[in-house]
Amino acid sequence: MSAIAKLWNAIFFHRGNGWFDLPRTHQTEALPPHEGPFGPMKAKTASWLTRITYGGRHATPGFYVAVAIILTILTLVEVWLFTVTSLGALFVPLLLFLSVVKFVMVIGFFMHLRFDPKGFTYIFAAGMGLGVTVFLVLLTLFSKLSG
Amino acid sequence: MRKKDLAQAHTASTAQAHPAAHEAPAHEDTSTGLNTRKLLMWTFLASDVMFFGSLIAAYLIYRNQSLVGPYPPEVLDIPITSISTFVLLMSSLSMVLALHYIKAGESRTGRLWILATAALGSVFLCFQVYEFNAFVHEGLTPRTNLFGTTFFTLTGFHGAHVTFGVAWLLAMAIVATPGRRERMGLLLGVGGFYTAAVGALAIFAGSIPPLDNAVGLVMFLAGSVIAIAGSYNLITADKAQKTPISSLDLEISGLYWHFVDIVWIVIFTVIYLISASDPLPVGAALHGG
Amino acid sequence: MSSNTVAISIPRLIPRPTERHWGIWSWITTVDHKRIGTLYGVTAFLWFLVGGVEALVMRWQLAMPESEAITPEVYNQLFTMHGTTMVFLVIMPLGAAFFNWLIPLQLGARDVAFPRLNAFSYWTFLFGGILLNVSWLVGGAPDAGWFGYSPLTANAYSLGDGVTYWILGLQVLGVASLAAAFNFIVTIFNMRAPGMTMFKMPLFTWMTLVTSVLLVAAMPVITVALIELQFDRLFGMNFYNTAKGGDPILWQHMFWLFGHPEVYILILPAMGIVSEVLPTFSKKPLYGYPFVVFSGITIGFLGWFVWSHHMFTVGLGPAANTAFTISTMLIAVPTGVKIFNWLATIWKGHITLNTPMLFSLGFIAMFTIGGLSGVTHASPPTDAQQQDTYYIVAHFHYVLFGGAMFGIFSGIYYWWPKMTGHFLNERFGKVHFFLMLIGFNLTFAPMHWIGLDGMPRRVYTYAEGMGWDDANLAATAGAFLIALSVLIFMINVLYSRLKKEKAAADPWDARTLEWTIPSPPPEHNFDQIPVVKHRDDFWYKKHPELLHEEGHDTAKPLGVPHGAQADGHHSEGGYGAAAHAPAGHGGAGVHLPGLSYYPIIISIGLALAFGGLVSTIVLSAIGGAIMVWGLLGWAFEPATEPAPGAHH
Repeated sequence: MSAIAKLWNAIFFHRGNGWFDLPRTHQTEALPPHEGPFGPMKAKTASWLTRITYGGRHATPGFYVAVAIILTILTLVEVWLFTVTSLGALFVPLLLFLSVVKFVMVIGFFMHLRFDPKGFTYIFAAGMGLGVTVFLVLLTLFSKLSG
Repeated sequence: MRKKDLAQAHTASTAQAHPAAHEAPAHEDTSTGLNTRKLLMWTFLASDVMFFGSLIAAYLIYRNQSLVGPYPPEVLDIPITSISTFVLLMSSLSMVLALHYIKAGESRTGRLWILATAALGSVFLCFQVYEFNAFVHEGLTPRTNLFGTTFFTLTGFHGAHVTFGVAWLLAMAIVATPGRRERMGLLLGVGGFYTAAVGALAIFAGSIPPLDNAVGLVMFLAGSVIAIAGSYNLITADKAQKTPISSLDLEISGLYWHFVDIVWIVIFTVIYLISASDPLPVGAALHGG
Repeated sequence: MSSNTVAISIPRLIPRPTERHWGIWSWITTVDHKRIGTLYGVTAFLWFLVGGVEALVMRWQLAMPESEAITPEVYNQLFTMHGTTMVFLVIMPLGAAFFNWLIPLQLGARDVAFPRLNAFSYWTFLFGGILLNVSWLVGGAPDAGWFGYSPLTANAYSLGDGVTYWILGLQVLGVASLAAAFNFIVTIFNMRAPGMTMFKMPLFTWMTLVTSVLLVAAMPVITVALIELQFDRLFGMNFYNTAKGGDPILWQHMFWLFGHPEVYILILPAMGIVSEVLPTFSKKPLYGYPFVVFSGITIGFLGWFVWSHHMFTVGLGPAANTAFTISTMLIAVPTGVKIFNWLATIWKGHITLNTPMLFSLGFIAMFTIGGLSGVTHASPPTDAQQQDTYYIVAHFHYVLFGGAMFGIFSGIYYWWPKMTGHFLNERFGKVHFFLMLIGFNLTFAPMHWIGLDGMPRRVYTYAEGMGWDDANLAATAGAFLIALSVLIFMINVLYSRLKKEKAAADPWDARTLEWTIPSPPPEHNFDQIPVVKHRDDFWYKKHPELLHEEGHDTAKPLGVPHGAQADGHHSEGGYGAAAHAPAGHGGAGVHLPGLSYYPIIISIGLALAFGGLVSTIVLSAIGGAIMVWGLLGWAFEPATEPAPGAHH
């Protein structure tokens, strides 16, 4: 069967499951243990990132304390930015960026999304994505188009 | 064999079969391989995103729309809130450490971290009570203007989430504490802690009607002594004694707790740091509080 | 649990109810998804009668121009409560009745993931509905319309407690919907039978999943909107108070941000039902299954970005109106895809024209009309003409009655044999269908014309000689025809109950797993958990030659799937044997979740706590205390009692 016919079958044929299959049942293989949310990234920076954020080990109390220290420093930076008066238009984006970094660190490390199966990340990311998009649209309606 | 078929019953039976194995299996016997109760919690959190998203959106839509003061830059106290933010951040750390030690089987340490989390959450709530009280004294109530309406609603619901989380953690700490002596210590510690906290609030807020500074000081001192005495029992508890809570229960309450923390990360940035830098409306001094 | 019971005696606040197979206590303490489904269905049907009577009174008032059958105040309360009841107390819970009954059966599971949470959803729905309707008895029902536009809901314009009851009732109902939605999402993700991948799930299960996801995301939005309104009314806050700079348009945005996904929450379950009924009675697989699934998902996603088409006349500006016009027209595409897939499904099929099939066909026709009239008001200029006229009333009744209710009746006739073990009478059923079809069109088709002619909706009466008299009289006659058809349905239920025409396990030669087990299903559902190899697995178990005929390259000879025996709980005959297993045989070894008092206790506490906010705060305190007590009891009561002999 040609590739096109195969694809056609996969999409239209009544029992054509292959293309749309979401694996993960009893029959399919188990998740690799402790795989992070970003999958097996091959690039060098990616593996470097993987090593410092997880490294394939169980996280230790030391790791959590390190995360907390970074979070504290980021919070201090935020408060320091608040006292700097010359930032102008940069102020809000900078603060938002820092809080996104803190947000991701907490859900990734404290809430174990970095270490848990990816399904949880998908669920939460779907909720976050929908919420952020919908409310950005709402804010746009109010700030730009209502006057 | 058949009782395995209810995934949930299965999870319970796994815990029964291996009371010593505190760590949840990496791959659950469910269709997705995800633990059923954790999946419920994550779905709930995704839903709660929409809840807080709506409240934050309402706050932002009404930002700079108040017709009368006090305006955010006039009342928001960044130094105090920075401290309470730090306290909540540390409570997340102690939560994750509690889970780590309970998973590792070091119940006594884990239990202390659970209590530390509840205590830090309570301190955060004290800051919030102090702040609300201060705002009312500066003339900002939920009825005053749009800022008051949206601010108290948003931070109030966050505080309600924290309160529920503290109650949940305390309940877990009580269940997690085996032994009569330890449990008595726990009750004394918690009771003393809250007495001291109310005393401290009375001193700093200076306006909780029946409690003047002297009563507040007495409450603070006596409460601290009782709390330390109670905690002594907990710290010296038998290290080897197993805790009767599953790490999964704690992990789920932990997810909730961290979520409340990340909501605060957003609130701290959006409401406090950004709003406190908003320019005062022209002529604000005429209306200002 | 054994470790717990050894280390610490778990406090049981009240002793666990023991197994009882009859009587009211067995219903109060039940956690069985089938019984909860029945409770949902019966309760929602009773509300359907209430909402229907409200509609009849309104039609009676509108039958003649300048009629004064009821007062304008009562009329306002009637249209508010008719809308609220039909949306929140009828169509949503009727959908939930099917979710409860069918999802575990279609997945091949013994119950939902959280049986007690499921019971909690039902009781909360019941008490929420009661709280909402208590307002009739204590000084007037809500009267600001089912979408409660601000500032009509402000204290200054809505005297009395009606709107407060509306707010609090909807909050409680929201809790019920959320709890159910969480439960079904987790159940569908996690409790599928071995081999049932997501794209082997029945269509109804898929639509339940999409509906639940929509609920989970949409309910918090209306919760916040209602909280804001509640705080305005109860505590004098300023969310919608223009005197302090508040913006009533915010309410409209928040309401429709919830309200439009809500529309799909109402219609998607019916689409799922129809997608099960049509293939069964056409003896053909659903045409283009992945397309129907993805259309459902697309509808669920796009449904979030069309809300402002309810607000074209607000004056959001040309850019916003254009954007929402485009998204609204876009969402018609996946809906159209579904309609064509249904048509292709019955094309050249061996069609059986019985009552469920007739209702499904009626669904397609009526829903298409409603969908098309919906597309007409995607365009702002036309919408400006149609806004707040009877044209809108006609449109959404074609979608929600001709669509959702026809689909639900189709489901009732289709699954009745499975749920009760006997058929509904065919002759009564056909009379029911045709009367309802005629009555429905007689009621709502004329509204298109009078709406375009300018008759505003929600008017108490209208002047003579506007040219609206005949159409209104016809609509009233149609409404009473619908009522007659519903009466015939009830007679049918009673008649069939007396006659008891026994139904076999698989009376329709159907395709999905619920038909593999006896009718009605035993308490534990499946003697053996089925193993699924194909989509419509049961169909190909019955007709293996069709599998071969279709010549699919992944087709493998049927039999026991590979992993099945390794699991150790599948017999040689697959699940085919389960239907013939002696009664009680399988039940002995199955460990089911225990009965519980706590769901109803927490629900009572919740309803009291909310009810107290409008009456006396003491009631709230009592309700809160009951809730805390219930939560503690719930937490300390294991979902499933340890099997006797598991320890000690």
